[in-house]
Parts: sequence; structure tokens; C-alpha cells
Amino acid sequence: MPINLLPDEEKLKIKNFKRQEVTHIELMGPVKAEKIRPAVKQSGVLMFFKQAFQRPSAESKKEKIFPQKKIYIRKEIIREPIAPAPVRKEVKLYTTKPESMRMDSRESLWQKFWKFISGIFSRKRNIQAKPEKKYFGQYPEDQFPKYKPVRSEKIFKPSDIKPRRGEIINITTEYVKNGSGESDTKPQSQIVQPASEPAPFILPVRKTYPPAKEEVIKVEEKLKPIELIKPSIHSKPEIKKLVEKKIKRPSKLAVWWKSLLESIKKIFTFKRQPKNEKEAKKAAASVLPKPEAIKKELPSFELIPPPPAPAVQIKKEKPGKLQGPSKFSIWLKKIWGKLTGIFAGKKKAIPSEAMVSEVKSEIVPEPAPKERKPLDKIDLLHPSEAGPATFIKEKPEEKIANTIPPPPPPKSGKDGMNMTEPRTEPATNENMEWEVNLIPEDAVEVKVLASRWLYLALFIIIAFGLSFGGWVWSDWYKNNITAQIGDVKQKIFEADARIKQYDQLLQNVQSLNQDIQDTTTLMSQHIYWSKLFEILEEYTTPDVYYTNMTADVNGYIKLSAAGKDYDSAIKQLMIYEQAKDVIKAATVSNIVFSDNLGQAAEEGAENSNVEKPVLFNAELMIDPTIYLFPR
Amino acid sequence: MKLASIKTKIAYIFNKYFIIIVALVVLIILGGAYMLFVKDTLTEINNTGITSLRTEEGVLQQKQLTLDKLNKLKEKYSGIQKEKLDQLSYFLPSESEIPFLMIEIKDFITENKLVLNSIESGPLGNTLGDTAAKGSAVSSLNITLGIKGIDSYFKLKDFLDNMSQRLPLLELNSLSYSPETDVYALNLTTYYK
Repeated sequence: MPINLLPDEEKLKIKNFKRQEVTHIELMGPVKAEKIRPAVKQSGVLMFFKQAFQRPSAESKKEKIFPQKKIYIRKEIIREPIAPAPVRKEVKLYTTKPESMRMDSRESLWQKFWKFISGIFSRKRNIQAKPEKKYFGQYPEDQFPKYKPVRSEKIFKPSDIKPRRGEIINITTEYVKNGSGESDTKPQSQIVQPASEPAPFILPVRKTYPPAKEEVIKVEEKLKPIELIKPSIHSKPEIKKLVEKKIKRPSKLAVWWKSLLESIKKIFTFKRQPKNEKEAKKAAASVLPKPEAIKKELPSFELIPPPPAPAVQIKKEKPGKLQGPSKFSIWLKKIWGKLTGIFAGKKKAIPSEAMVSEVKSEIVPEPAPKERKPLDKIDLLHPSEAGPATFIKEKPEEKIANTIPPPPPPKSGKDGMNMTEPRTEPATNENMEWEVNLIPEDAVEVKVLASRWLYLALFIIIAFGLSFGGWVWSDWYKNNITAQIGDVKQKIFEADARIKQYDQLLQNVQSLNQDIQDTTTLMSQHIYWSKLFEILEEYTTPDVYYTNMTADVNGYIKLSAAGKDYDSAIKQLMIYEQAKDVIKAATVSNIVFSDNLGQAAEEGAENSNVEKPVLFNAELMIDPTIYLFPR
Repeated sequence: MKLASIKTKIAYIFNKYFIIIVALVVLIILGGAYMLFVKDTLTEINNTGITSLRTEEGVLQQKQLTLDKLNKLKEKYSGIQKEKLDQLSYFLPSESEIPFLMIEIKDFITENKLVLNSIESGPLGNTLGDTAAKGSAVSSLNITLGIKGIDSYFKLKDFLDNMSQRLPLLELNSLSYSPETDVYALNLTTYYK
């Protein structure tokens, strides 16, 4: 019973494998170093497979005796008719860090900035900016050789000769018997001669598995010839059930180590969010389960051919029929993704054009397989590379050429290229997550993205700009307030000047006002003598007349009067005393008979009953207010 | 602890708390700039600038009100007729107009067909007493007139009435008659400014 030695992960991977578009190999001169990935970048599963298919050492062979252990290795020797350029013989491409992952220190700051800007506006997003993981393999860190990034221009010198298309002349497979030490190099046609015994399986050999060095592979003498045929789509793989599985529980240290690695991986892995169910399923299928069990017993070692490639083929639609988003919308999504990635802490993958075309691709049935030809050629291809579009074209002349022994191996580095250099296939699924990470702890190096530094610098610049703006604004505001105060002071000064112009007017008005007040006061105290004479006329008897008068404004009046007789003087006195409303006091004095008047009086007395005139003085004290009233 | 692990931890912290670090840095820069440059300026503006501005604006407002009042006063002063001002100056002449007052008195006596026998005036600069308003610059002048020709009581009476009407600011303080000389002595008081 054949036993399928492939682990579950590989089975699932093969099951979910989708054929990629095969492109013909065209050798355009020396292969650039960038396209060849170093072997140290092999992931954990690839290393596992490498060990699985690797020939055990002699010591381990003694311990574990596997009957009919056959390990084959294919060595492809491709010769080119014309060597386009001299290539160094020994070139180690084990660069610890690819060039695209690091920013060259020789670049100037302006070049770095321009590289960053161009990366933003470029179509494809630079996903290589993930934090790099160092892999030291089985060596400790201190013993691990330190490699510096080497530029391809240094490795391969530019050729002056125009590159010409190379041709594949022949492919030889080299087998070496175990223990004999003799290399058995035979052409394929000789190995697969017995056509009477059709091979029941296909031997899949991956191109990436050959060891770094050209090893001598030991093959037992009792090895039966194996018939290798092209993988047939209609041939169903025979998968033998596992007999028993022994569950191996991981230790606490392993669990802790696993969780630590997962956490670190989550930090530095930018998960792409599946946009539809199809992608989600694809991502789920890409995650390989943890190999928990191994076969307990290996009764026989038979290589089971892997299941055929899925009978689907991705056919890309024509560009004209694509109805995806426009370039502008994709560019906008990129910008939006960058902005949201800054604030969300996760970078979301933005679908590129290739992804869009992938979504729009259709699954079409694979074309009919080729007819089985005679075993004139060994086609050791990986299932992923198997298919109708193989890069080896058979020619009628090659059939004849295959029958003759192959030419001697060319001198390395001159006539051809040795394709047995260890190299790895590029990861088909970037979202693949391994449950077991064999990267040592010391190899983890957390790098801060240059874009983050730039963003931080940008924000710092913006903050400084805002601060400067605030300072400028405050200074402007202060100057504005000061200017306003100056304006108000200027207006006050002008108002004072205008007020000063009114000083003369104010003085004139004040003087006028004072004059008016004084005049009003004086007019109110004006003296009218006419009232006095009216009073005297009123309070004087007809027998009395005044001969002299002295009066003043205080109300004192002194009158010299003459009366007809003595009685008239008495009557006048009585009248003065009766006019108390006007005359406050009145006195009559010095009543004397006049001389002339006395003689007449004496004559009248002598003549019986003749009155004599009298003179008298009257002093009056009248109310002074009578001078204030006009007539 | 190795330097590499320290760098790794720092980078890890930086990546994980990038937004917080950026926010803190921005806040620190903005806060520091505010405390160093903006705060003092704003405090000075609020405490000194705006207060001074309000005060100056109040002063300016008062000046404007004063100017408005002066403008109104000027309009009133301009509205006063010149005749009234001349009349006022007639009733209250200035010191320089005293000689003209004497001439006017003489003319008045002559108009009444009387004879000015004598005229005496007292010293200038007698300030007005309680009768005048406070703060006035009005002064008084005593004048003594000796008049002949008043031969009747009615003539004396008319003369005094006319003098009171036409020369209102000639106050007759005392009147005396001497029959021997036939002269009326009039003690007058006039005012000037």
C-alpha cells in the first residue's frame, strides 16, 4: 500500500492549489540577483519539507532502516550557446535582508523622501515595508554570518553584448548509487526505458528542494527503475489512510513560545481584510493546520504521487471587459487606506489592479491533457508547474538526441548556469499564517516604519506651525489692541483740541452770563423817587407847604415846612402819624412863628382874632422799599 | 538587557502606541508654545490692553459729550441778537465808558432846561457790596450834581422821573435843596464793569 508522506498542510495546499499562468522562460542574459530569493527566506513549512525529502545521514540511517529508501534529485543543467556576460563563479546570494526591504544608507534624505512620496502615489503598495524577520537557521546568532546587502549591479556587471535568447539544449538527471560513490549519470531515456512496466505514480519533485550544495545521492543498488510519467489529470491519487496517529502534546515552554511568536507576528503583520466570501474562504484555506501527528509506522517507503492539479484554470478576462473600479478610485482608496491605517494602527491591503483582475477572473475548465507519449523524457515538475503550458518544448530532433548520451557537463559558470542553487518559491499566499514559528526570539527585529517617522515629523511640523501661528496671532492681537488704544488716544487728543477752540466762546458766554446776572440784580434794586413825592403829596395838608427837603434812599426825610397857623402844624403831625403803612416814624419840631408871619400875627392879635403863620421841621422815617416801585 | 532588545521594545512601543505618541507630542508642543509664547501675551492683553482700551474709550465718550454741549452752546450764543448785547452794555458800561457817561448826564440836564451847577465824582474801583451778585466785576461810582433852574415842585418831580427812566443805572441816593443858593444837590451812584 502506498503511503502518502505528505503532511496535511501540503495536502490542503495541493487541494486548494490554483494553477497560475505559466510564462515561458526566456533567458535574457544573466539572471539578476533580485529575482533569486535566498534560501534563508524559506518558511517553516518549506524547511519541513526540505527535511522530509532530504536524504538522511549515514548515522541516522543506521538507526532507522528504511527499506528501499529512494531519494531522487534532479539536476537541470541549462547551457547557453553564447555567454552574454562574464558571471562570477561563486556568488552568495544569502542576503540577510533584501534590498527592497531596507532603505539604503547611501541614499540621501531627499532621495528617501522622494522614494516615500513616489511610493504613496505608485499603483502598487509597498507591502515590503513589513518588519523584517531574521532567520539564522541552526546557527546561533553570534555565529551566524553577517551578510551585507549586495546590489545586483555589483554582482552582475552590465554586459556590453546585447542579450540573446537562450535555448535549453538538454536536461539531464543525475543519480548516484549509495555507497558506491560512482555517479550514474544517465539520460532520461535510459532510465525510463522499460516501458513494459507502466509506472503507477508520478514522482513530484519540487525545484526548490535541491540542497545548496551538489550532493551525492545514494541510491541503493536494488532500486528498481521507476517510470516517471507526466502527471495525468484523470489519474486519481491513491491516498492511503493513516494507520494511527500519535498525539504529541506540546510542552508549556512551547506553548508560551508559540503564543509569543503569534503575538509578535500579529503586531507586524498587516492583515488584509477579506472583502467577500470568496476571499475569506481562500484565506481560511491558506492557513495550514498544525502537524500534530506523525506516522507511527512506516512499513514501506513508496512515493505516492500527489493528487493531480485541480482541473481549473484561471483565465483572465480581457482588460477591456473589466468593470472594476477606475484608477482614480483605486488611488483614492490607497490614500484613504493610508490615512485610516495611521489612525487605526492597521494597514489594510488595497486591492491592486492584479487583485481586481483576479476577482474578476473566471474559472474555466482546463484544456484536455496531452496524450501520453513514449517515455522519452522525464518531466519532473511540481504539480503547480505541471500542465499543458510546460516550458520545455520538444522537438523531433530531441527524441534522437535523447537516445544518445548527454554531453559532458559544461564548465560551471561559462557555458551554462547551474540551477541547483537553493532557492525558494515565492509565497503564494501572503496571508498565510503559521501556527508554529521557528524564528528564534533574537531574530525578531522590530523596525519602525519610515512612513511613521515621516508622519511623526509631519505632525510635529504641523504642531510647530500651529504654535507659530498662535504666537503670530497673539502678537497680532496685542498689536491690534495697542493700535486701537493709540487710535482712541488720538481721537481724545483731537477732541481736546476742539474743546480748546471753545475756550474763548466759553469765556465770552461766561462773561455775558455774569453781566446779565449783575444787570438783573441792579435793575431789581433801582430807585424811583417819584413814589416818594406821591406819598408826600398824599399825606400833606393844604395849609402846609415845604420850603426845604433833604432825603436819602434809606428813608430818612427831613422837611422844612411852613403852616398857616399853629393848628395846621399840629394837623400835619397827626396825618404823618396816621400814615403808618408808609411812614414809620414822624416828628414835628421847632414850631415857631415866622417873623414876618409873626408881625402879621401880632397885628392880627391886635386886630382881634388874626392867626399867625408858623414854621416847623418834620423828620420822617419812611419805608425804603417805596423807592423800588415805579410810579 | 541587550541594546538590541531595548531598541526592539522601544520600536514595539512606538508602533503600538503611535497615535498616542503623536497626540502627546503634538499636545506637548502646543501646550509648551501656549505657555511660553501665547499665555503671557494674552494675559497682558486682557489685564492691560483691554482695560486701557475701555478706559480710553470712556474718556473719549465724555469728550464727545462735552463737544456736543459746546456745540449747542455755541449755537445759542450765536442766536443772541446784537441789539440785546448793546442794550446790556448800555445799562452796564465799562470803565472806559465813564467819561461818556458824564457827557451823557450833562446832555440830559441840558435837555431838561436845567443848569448843571457842579459835578463831582468819587474814586473809581469801589467794589459793589452785597447788592451786587457774587463774583461780579461790577464797580460803583459816586457822582454829585449841583443843578439850578428847578423853580417849581413839578419841575423837580418831572426831572427826577425822567432821570429814573432814561438813566436807570443812575441811582439817586440823596436829594437836598438849599433855598439860599437855589441849587439842588443830587448825590448819584452809577455802576460800571
